[in-house]
Amino acid sequence: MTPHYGCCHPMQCILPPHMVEAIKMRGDSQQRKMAETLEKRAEEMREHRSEATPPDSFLAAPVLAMSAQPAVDRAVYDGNRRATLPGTLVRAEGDDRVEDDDVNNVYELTGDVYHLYLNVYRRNSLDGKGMTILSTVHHRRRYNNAFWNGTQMAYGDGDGTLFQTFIEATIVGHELSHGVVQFSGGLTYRDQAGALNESFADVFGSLSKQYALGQTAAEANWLIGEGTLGPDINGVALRSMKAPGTAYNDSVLGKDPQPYHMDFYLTTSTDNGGVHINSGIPNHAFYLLAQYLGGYAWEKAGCIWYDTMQSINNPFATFSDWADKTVEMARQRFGVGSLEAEYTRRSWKLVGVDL
Amino acid sequence: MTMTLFLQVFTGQGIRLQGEIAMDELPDDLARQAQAILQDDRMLADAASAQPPPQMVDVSTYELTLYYDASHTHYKHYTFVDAETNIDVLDLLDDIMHEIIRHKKGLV
Repeated sequence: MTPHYGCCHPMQCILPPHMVEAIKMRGDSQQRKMAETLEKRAEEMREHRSEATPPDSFLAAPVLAMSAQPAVDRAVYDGNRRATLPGTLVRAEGDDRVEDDDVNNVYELTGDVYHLYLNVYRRNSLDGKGMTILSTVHHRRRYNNAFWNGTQMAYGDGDGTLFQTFIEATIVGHELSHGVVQFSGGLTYRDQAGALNESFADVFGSLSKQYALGQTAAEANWLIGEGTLGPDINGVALRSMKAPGTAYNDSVLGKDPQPYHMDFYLTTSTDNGGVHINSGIPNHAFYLLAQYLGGYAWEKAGCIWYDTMQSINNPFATFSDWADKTVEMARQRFGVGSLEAEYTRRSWKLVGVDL
Repeated sequence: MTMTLFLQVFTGQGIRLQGEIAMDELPDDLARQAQAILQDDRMLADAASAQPPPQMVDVSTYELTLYYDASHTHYKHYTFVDAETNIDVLDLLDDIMHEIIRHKKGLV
């Protein structure tokens, strides 16, 4: 009997990925051909979505003079567990603490991220022009996610089983740093450029926490989303920059899929080409550089990465493009032949990225 | 045979959740809600065509397959992404995933 392959509307009905793979492996020639056609159609749909999200034009943020002392401007909203953004304003800049700890925590953590970018990189807010930083807590119900939507952050409460919160220092820093990427010209959210976008957000998410706690590279744990997983989940965080692939191993979540080396780079059509997976490789390169250089990671290693974001001007950058630029930026800031430049080159080599 | 749902959620934080559950395994209220929404082809089609804001990152993606027979030869498959206009469907899928997880964790 010939299987019935489908349903339906040409734009939303795609054979499930696990079934496509099964048919390609075990189907007859006609079935395999049909599976390949459907797979191609799915890829076209994804490309259509990707093309619909062009990055902003390149614009390096103005560097503030050391004498300039702008002030942070935050606004935190309550989403009331609904989807409409931003929701109800509950704490504006300078307002007293409120009863809701989630509101206060987002307010404080947002301030930490702002001050890292201002004090270390002389950047005034996400756009470099002092924009108000908008955040919504209690977004939707049982929502296992946090995101930057192009104009603001939104944080779900988690379902209480897998995730108990998304309001955590590195996640707040991560989401805000997506805004920095966007206002720095952007990195297309797909494949290696998308993984670099994710990695930049992880790097500066971790640096935000380290800066707030005054931790050296050796003292930091380099975890992203520590404490967000539910109590019965076998894991410590969402990702580990120190040891990608080891953050969790759970009967429901599965095993952390992040690679630490190009030998294990995952080619996939899911997750926009594995942007949250392959980001483990540049994440680990940054971790190695920070360990080589010692001291506070936001100072030298962070400056090299920030300078790279401000100057790469390539929304489709590959890992090699980014790595080349980091070495160039290290040489420019610390000198040709400097230890900083040499360690930058070596860190990329250790994760298998060609320079 | 009762309809079976296979659901995968790729959360915007890089976590993949997946599992399968039969309609008659859902709590009554949720099953009634699921019946109403999942039999509404127009609503599902509209929800599947909804798109998030162009600059949004860390978007959650939901892949839902509805199986109508035990041999899995008759099914419908939908992909949804975070967008304000398809929230009723996404909230339902979050609730279904919560139930799948409760089953997997032995909490039911």
